[in-house]
Amino acid sequence: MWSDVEQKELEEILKKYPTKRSALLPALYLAQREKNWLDDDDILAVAEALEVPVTDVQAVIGFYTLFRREPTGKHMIHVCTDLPCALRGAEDFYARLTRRLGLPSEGGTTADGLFTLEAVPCLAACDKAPMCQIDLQYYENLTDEMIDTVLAQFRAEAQQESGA
Amino acid sequence: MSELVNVTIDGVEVQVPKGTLIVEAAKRAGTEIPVFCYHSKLDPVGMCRMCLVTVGTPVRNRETGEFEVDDNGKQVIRFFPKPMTACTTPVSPGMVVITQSEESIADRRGILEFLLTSHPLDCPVCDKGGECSLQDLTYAYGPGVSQFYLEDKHHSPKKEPLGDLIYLDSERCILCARCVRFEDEIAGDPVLAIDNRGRNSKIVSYSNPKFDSKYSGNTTDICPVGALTTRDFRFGARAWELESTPSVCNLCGVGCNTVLNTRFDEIKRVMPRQNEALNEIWLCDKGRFGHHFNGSQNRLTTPLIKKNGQFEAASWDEALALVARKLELSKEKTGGVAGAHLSNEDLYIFQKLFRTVLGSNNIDHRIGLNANWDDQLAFEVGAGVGTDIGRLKSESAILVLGADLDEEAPVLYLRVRGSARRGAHLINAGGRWTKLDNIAEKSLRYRYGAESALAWGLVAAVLDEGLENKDFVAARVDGFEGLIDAMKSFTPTRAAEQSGVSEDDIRAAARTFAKAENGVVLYGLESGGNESLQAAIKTLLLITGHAGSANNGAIAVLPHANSRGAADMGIVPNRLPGYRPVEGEAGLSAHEMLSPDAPLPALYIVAADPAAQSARYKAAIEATEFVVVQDLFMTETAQLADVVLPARGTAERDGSFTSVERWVQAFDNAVSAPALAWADWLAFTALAGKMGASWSYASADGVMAEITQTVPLYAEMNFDNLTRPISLERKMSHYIYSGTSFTADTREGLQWRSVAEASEAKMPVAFIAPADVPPAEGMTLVAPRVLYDGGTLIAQAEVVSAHIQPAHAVISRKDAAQLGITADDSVTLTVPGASVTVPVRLNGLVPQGIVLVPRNLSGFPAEKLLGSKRLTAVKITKVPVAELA
Amino acid sequence: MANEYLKEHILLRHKDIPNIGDIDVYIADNGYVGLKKVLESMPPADVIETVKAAGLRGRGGAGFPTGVKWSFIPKGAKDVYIVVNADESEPGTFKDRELMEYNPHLVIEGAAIAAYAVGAHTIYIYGRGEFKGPFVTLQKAINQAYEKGILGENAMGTDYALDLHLHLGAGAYICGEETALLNSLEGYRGYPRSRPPFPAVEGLYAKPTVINNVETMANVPGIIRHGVEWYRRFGTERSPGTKVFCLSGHINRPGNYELPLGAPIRYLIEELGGGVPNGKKVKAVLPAGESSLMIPADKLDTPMDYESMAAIKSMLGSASFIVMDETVDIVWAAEKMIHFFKHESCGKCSPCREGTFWLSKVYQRIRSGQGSMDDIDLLTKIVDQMTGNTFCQLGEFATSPVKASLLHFRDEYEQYIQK
Repeated sequence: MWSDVEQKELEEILKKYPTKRSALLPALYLAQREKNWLDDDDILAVAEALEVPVTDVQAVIGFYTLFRREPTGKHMIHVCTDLPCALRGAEDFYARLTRRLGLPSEGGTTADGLFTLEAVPCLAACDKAPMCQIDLQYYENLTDEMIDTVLAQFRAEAQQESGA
Repeated sequence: MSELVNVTIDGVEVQVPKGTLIVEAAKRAGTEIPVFCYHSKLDPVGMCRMCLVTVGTPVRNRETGEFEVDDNGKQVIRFFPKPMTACTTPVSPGMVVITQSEESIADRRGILEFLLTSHPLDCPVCDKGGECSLQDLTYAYGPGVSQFYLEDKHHSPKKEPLGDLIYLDSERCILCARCVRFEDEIAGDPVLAIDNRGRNSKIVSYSNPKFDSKYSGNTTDICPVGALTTRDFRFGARAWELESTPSVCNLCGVGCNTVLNTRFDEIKRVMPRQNEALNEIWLCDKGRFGHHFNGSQNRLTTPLIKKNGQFEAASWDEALALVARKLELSKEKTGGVAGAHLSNEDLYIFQKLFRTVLGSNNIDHRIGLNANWDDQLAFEVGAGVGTDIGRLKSESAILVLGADLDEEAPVLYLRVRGSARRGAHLINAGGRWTKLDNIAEKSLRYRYGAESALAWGLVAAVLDEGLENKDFVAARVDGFEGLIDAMKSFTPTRAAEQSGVSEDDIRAAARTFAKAENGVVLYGLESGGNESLQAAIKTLLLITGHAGSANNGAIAVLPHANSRGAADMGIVPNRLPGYRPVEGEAGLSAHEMLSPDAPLPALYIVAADPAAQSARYKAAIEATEFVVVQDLFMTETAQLADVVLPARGTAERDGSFTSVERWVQAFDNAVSAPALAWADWLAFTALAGKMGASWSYASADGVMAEITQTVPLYAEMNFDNLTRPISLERKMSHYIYSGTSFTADTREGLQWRSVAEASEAKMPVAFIAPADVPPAEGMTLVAPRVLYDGGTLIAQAEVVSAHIQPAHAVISRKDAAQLGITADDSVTLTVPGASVTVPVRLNGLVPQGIVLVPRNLSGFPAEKLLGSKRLTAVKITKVPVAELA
Repeated sequence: MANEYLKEHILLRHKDIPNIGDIDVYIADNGYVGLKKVLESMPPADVIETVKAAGLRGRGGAGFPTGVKWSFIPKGAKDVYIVVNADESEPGTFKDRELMEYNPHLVIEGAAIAAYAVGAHTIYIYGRGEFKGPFVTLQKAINQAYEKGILGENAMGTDYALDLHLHLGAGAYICGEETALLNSLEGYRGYPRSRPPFPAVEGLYAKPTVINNVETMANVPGIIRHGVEWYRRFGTERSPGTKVFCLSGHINRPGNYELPLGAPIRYLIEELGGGVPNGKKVKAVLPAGESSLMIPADKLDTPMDYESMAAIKSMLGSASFIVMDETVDIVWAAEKMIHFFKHESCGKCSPCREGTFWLSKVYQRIRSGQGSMDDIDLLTKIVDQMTGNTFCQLGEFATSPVKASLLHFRDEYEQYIQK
């Protein structure tokens, strides 16, 4: 299941550690990169490549929030609503965003499959709230207008891709 | 002896070895600290927090390093600010532990209340009720009421299959991880884990198949709650309604001690009975679930006589009269085959019947692929009495040669693994990967057929490097100089060439073994066990001084529950009981008796099914004029018989087995047999009576009494010793610290002494050149043994019969690629005179050039291809799926 | 000038020299002089002694003396590891991220000096998974350091080999706990490990390991470059040096501020942070994120050092000050914090796993108007049953929001119930 590029990257990753198992989190990121989530084949491929029992691979995935076992939208939006951000209006910001994306209060994936929105704990940007990460990149000191502009850019990109 | 330290626990001072955990030290002081996650066989983890205690250590003067004392001359104790977990904290000199402080009592109550917030409290319908740590500890330490709101409890399925034998009720689970840790640490099967985190944590298995371990049942014993239950005992009975009978497992040669739990004359479950020298508290799944054959609907219930090609029910008197008449005619030409899961008493009487009444030495317990293995090593240099293979010290070496312990002797695998895990040097020599390679310090991969070359190579390396134990050789070895001479031409280099193991590896392994304080060799079916190999192992043990004492010597990993006993009782054509040679000519082996070219006039086949194994045997039986079969089931062989006699299963009678480690152990009668089924020894005795003998054995112990008189090896093995009354009552502490296995007891069996330890006499060593095996052209067929065999018993045990694999062949991925074979194909395997077609499996761990076809599977393809041979060149051709259809 | 207490920045040097993330700029500002000095002229034991004498204390939260921690590594041990804890996940904390993004070479140099001091040749920086972005910047800096020969087979042209690898976690607060971090780095679930054995004896891959926070490492180069005396000019006798203070919540100018230890809270909030917006008053402050016991407004003159913060029954910890103004509903805030700990409890030990879950249930009840006075006692009881009994500090921290809010603002709970 690994592409040649991924295989090369995996080999580079393995060089960093004295045990194969240490490469588990990096290998899972690699396996998840293409489609944003991990299917059974991905897990078997990681288990085999690193010689880690498949049950252990699953259990490790289950422990960490950044690995996903279900399909998601193309882009992951993580809005921090933890206390420091909430004191600066992050909860309201998040609530408004869910409404504008047509999502329930607990978030989820937009109808067009483009975004998956989640409220998450602290992302170490408390001084720049409201903030979010989209695909783990920071977007800070946000207003509704700013996030709308960002999301519009992603939509435009997606349209371009599907057009091409 | 390790350093001792003094500690005071609840005012009681005890001396314990340094490093002892508080929880263990407390037991010595008479205090049972409650635990859930702690288990003395597992590494401590400190997860459940139930064992929190108050701990203080004496204050030392910073300058002098002396303990400080107060005005009254008492040591000043400084207590840790937080309570400590007794399960993870080792004692230190002068430590003071208080388990009954107000704080500790409150902590325990708190922990129990926390655990119960996610527990359904469904004790009235829970299989664990009555032997449950959570139930008992809540009663002892818990709060009477909880302030947790019932509607806040979480709910999950009550019956999730974790594997096909074990159900998970995660509502009841308290996440102590004992099951996960058992599989990781003890079994070496990392197939369980905790998934998710926090309150969503859950025990899962994603192996394929799920919970892929031969030891899964043990997790239900050590589960401190009712979260894990076995498929067959679920809602089977309440623990306190069960009757308990001590028994010994009859499904492999390890001899695990068991308890048969019965209700209304039916076996409800088989539980391990603690025996630290043998199975500790473990049992494999075959042993735990295999008993279901007892209650099978297919049991033989009456003697049968074939009339006009049809079986008709008959009385024992009628049937035995017929047998007696017929055997009177065949007399010394009669052949007898007795399966090695018969008891010592059965086997002894069987050979007595043949040798004294019929005058025939034509008896054997080895049929088919075991036919050429005649183990005498254990008799001569068997691992010394008191050997503890599960707790060998780190200065010990274990050499496993040609044995796949995980498949052939599962609990022995656990024990060897345990020693290796704690530091003993494990050398695993095999023709292919086996599970012990996961933990072996060194894996020696030899060419099949070159086992004895490798073993002599180890001897050669010991000699070449002058590593022999000179004192031992001087005192106990005869022919050492001759050995050196004889081996001049057989160097480690030569052994390396022949065996395919590098000279460096041979030398390194020899050094490890020779320098170890203790050394044990386990050799098994796949080694071939020929004369040269046995001589090599014996020589290796003797010249390194690893013989004649505990934790030194050989263990032959024989296949069946009483294979050892069968050899001891002389169920071989060339030896009488106690390894004495027969007078005059030896009789015929089973393989010779079952020859279609020269059929015998009569055959008496007991607890064996040769007709199923090969067309040759079947033809021989068909050609035999008169055939008596005595068994539990209407086997293929029985269908060919003239008289069929119904026998009793192990649970339905008493008797004794001798394990591969030479433990002679008695089992008791737990349930009734079908009304007309007899114990085998009784049938033989009655037959002998019909033929003029006047034997008067009233019971199995009567037979054993005679064995102790006539077989010197068994002089001390009388039933008075073996069947000491046994109390199977269990205390709460046993559930808490060990699980639901039954406690240790006085009845631990007796071990007979090998020649090396029975006297101080010198023992001869001599070089027997290994047969030089040129690399075979093409592919070689190897027939390994698998745990879940397709033999008579397991196939009738419904709960585990699904684990019997269909017949198949396994080849390496590389060979498959070269032969254009894919995992969807079948293959035809051809040897001169035989050919079978089976589905193929690909496995990266199988060496190139090898075709594995497990023996004892449905249709017996391995047996058909091999005859009595161990290895054979085989032609493999691909059969595409389409062609099969 | 950085502020009234500090003429120029030491840790947040990028505030004075914006391009210091570039290696040439860093080197021009005396960068890697400390590393060069130790590699060329200081025996490892002297480095440890110097850091001990400087009195540097761990900046991750516990404040354990760094030099002492280093000295626990068995002498002559082989395969020693340095792990830099960049798992900054405590709500209210964002200093390590800024250091790695803007002044990465200071962190690299500090870690390299630490490695030399304990005989390690491999350094791992373990960052939380959400630091994928900051790690790109940090990786660039590391690449530069390799290109310049500062890292690699022959660090700074000596025969000392030094490798530095970045490793991303994947979303688990518990991995900031150093033994959980080690498990995570080894590819396991982030369960904390039992101690003993301590990481200094059996840490990463069961080898002796030193684990220090990013900011701790950033303190090291200065100590080596300028000496103990210089370092001790900042801070207090027992809490020497400067510290990055994270300021967030109801504050006009949130952000990171570097101050010597011992400066008063009020100075941070009012002078540097510009006070509370809209003229509101401070109601309470969490001085070390959600793990810390909140302090009421009357304690704002307390000096920000380890001892003084402990004296007012709170802690300096990671020095992440979250300001809450008078409008904040304390029960709401406590519930949010409990939700955080419930979400992040690893589940290894029963009191934390079950306790955080239970607490969150009681909070839901109280906040939804279904609570009773008994529930207030129940909260106390649950945290009592957790306190001192959990496997690691996470479970202990989880009790802080309950304990402190009940201590200072019990009336707000009562109001909820009486409503």
